[in-house]
Amino acid sequence: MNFVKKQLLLLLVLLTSLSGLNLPLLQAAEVGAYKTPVAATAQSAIDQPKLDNAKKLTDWLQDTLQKKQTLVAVVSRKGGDDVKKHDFTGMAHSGLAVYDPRAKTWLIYNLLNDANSNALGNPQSAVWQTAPLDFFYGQTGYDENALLLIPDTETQKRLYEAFITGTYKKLLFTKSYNLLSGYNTPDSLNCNKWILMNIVAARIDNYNPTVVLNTITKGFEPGYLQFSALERIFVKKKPSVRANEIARFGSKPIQTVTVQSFYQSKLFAEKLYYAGSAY
Amino acid sequence: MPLFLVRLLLSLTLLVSVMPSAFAGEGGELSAQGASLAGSAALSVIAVPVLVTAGASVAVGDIVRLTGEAGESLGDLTLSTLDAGLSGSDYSTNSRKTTYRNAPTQTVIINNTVKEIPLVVRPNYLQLNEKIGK
Repeated sequence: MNFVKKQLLLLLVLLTSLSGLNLPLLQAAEVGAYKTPVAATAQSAIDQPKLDNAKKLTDWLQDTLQKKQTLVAVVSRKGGDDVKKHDFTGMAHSGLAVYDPRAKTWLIYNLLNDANSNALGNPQSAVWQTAPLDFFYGQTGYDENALLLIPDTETQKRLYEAFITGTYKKLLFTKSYNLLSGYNTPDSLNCNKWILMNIVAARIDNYNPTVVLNTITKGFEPGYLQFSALERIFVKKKPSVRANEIARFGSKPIQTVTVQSFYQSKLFAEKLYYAGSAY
Repeated sequence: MPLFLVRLLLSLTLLVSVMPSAFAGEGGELSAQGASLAGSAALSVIAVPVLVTAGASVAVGDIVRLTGEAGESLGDLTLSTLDAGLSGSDYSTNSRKTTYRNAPTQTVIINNTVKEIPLVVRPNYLQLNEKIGK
């Protein structure tokens, strides 16, 4: 019995010493990933490097949209490293930046998955109104990257009118959310599909969702996402993905609206990429 | 080694190699959402959550929040709130940003009414993240 106790004690000592050794290394690795030391984060909930980054990107967004006299534009924020495997822009999430005289800035209307609905296996969407600072603070990682896609002036004005009058809400024809929603299907929405529908509706001046989806089918080239059989199994298990919609594609690439497909379309008069300094 | 064990190990290897890249791209959107909400909560730490008069702002450092008389949030942008925003001059601008006088404007027609929208940019950073149509 004593032998067992000794062994357990030894194991405990060993584990304690190992954790003691590992902790500083882990902290160092985390600090090294940031641009500035973040030792102070232990005392604060704020991720200061991320906040600094968000301020830079907010400045760029505001200065650019003001200079370009823009009422409405698409803004995209950076995703994780894996995004580039499916989208060369590296952008993961987008919204419509709409100028708000009350806020004296552009507020970003973005459709998001309601995390509370995931447990039901029936993901639901909601539109959020987000300040640029919050929008960029929510990005994955610390890259100083963002993308602005500015529609032509007439489309902007129609989009603006739709937001003021609430007409844009007609395009929220379903609450169903699907991260990999088919680009032209009436089953579900995700952030980019909702944006595309708004832009197309403004261009054709018709907010009937069926008409808008038909127009998209005829004239928009979606992103084609190819997954291996095993990847599909995991993708379909994601709480934000509707497995039954994915199954319809069989082994074919999933056709959905990506930021890359926006970038490659002819829907925008200007495409501006920010990478530390704009170019 | 038994065959079933070989198969099991092979499956586990495949799982490990696939899982990290299991569409983290759009997953970024999902994780970003979480981060956004968490970010909002985190930012709240430095923005004082007190009630202020309508149109006033609560500022801590260079980050502000806008709340109404009863502490309500900004709400939807409608024709009436647009007019209120256009007539209000509660947020002064400084020399770093464009002032009202030389702000570029855009003209829009809403419900057959012409609206001049001066694109004034606030001198500080707004904190806002709220669901529409709650």
